Amino acid sequence: MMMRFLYLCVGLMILVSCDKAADHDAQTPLVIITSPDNPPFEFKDTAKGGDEVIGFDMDVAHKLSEHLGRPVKIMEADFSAIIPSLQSGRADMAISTIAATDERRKSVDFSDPYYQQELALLVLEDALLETEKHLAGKALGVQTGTTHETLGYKWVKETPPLTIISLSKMGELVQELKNHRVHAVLTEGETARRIASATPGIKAVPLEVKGEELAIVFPKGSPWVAPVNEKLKIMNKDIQNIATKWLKTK
Amino acid sequence: MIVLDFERIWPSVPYILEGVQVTLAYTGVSLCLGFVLGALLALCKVSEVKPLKGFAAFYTSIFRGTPLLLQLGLVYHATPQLFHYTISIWEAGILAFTLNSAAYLSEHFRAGIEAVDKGQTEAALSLGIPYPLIMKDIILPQAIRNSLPSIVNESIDLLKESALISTIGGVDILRRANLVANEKYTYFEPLLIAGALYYVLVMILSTFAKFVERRLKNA
Repeated sequence: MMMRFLYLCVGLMILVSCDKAADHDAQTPLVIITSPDNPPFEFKDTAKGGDEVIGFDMDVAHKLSEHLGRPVKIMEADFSAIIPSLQSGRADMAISTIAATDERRKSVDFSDPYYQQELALLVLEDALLETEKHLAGKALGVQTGTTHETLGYKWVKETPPLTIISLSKMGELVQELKNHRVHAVLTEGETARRIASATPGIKAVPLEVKGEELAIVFPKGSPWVAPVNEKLKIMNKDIQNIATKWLKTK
Repeated sequence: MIVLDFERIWPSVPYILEGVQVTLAYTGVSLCLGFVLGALLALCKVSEVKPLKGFAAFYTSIFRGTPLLLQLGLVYHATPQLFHYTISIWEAGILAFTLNSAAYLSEHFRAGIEAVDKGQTEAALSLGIPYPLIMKDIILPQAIRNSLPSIVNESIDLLKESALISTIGGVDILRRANLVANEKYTYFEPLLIAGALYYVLVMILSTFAKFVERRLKNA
């Protein structure tokens, strides 16, 4: 009887340990969540069916999974749902043009930065705005909840009187620019360049000041932070190649 | 002046069109499930059993008293934390839309049931017909006919409100239009296409409903 009980215990322990091993199985895909609405960082080629999310961040994601030796599963969500989805365990990490800020650090963990954002102003073609110093007395459009919005409010103190107009969608901001309700829109450099070339009557003015650094986002206490940072260290060359492929600002 | 440029998004129109089946799937499935749940709730509401009555009234007050957007967000984001079940977008959408439309439909059904002359129930009871049969064979068929116009209204509402699924990442018509807008940096045009699609769907639905209504009137 005693022996039987022991066998049972051993059996159970093996079962439990198997279960744990399966958890870290090299075949379990890494779930990376993204909001595919921000070309060239993450978007869908809708003209070709839009089945796959592509872009700078996605190439980084695939390269990273290669280095980690794990298959990757890209999960799609609305931007506002990304952090809740990490917290509820739907995804292992997020790569979605997210900048590491102290405010965000309160609810999530970040990897080391993998890309330094450029900044640019979108203005009407005939505007005489060349740097952020020329913004005094103007209205500046920014996307709600972005680090550009934070920077805009910093400029309010440095270059008064500056008004910040904060809207949720880039398209709305471009529309406001065309309607003369904002004089400039602050956004990422490559994004600005693309919008300018797609929208007649609007140009992009690159800024000297650099943007925040992009990082990979994890749920708090994720075991992935350390291994990802380790791999990011040896991915410099890869990331540079990916940048040349997608980003033409420089 | 606004210049509309459909040429740039033309190749992406099929992508938006694919959203029609997503939107219809959410609407159709939730409506069917909501129909059943709504009918049950309506029966509770007209029953003599106090706890059932109270429950149905409370249920309706909750789901009519809070925004659907909030219900959807809670179902999707709170379920994994509360019940340790990672609910998918599809399941969360169906659940929220079903629970919500059941609340409204139950009110429409109740109104429909109460519009049937009470004398019919009394007459049937005096003939010794059991209550479940009275409901099933006499009252409910008339009640459904009575409440058909409001059921159609609710269906149309649900069809349009299903666009809320895009807030949690469901790739329906609206979300597809927004993705195209972001990809192509054109704001209006994809939304106009999405608007036209919703309009056509609602028109088809209401034409069909008118047809059914006419049939039932002659029945």
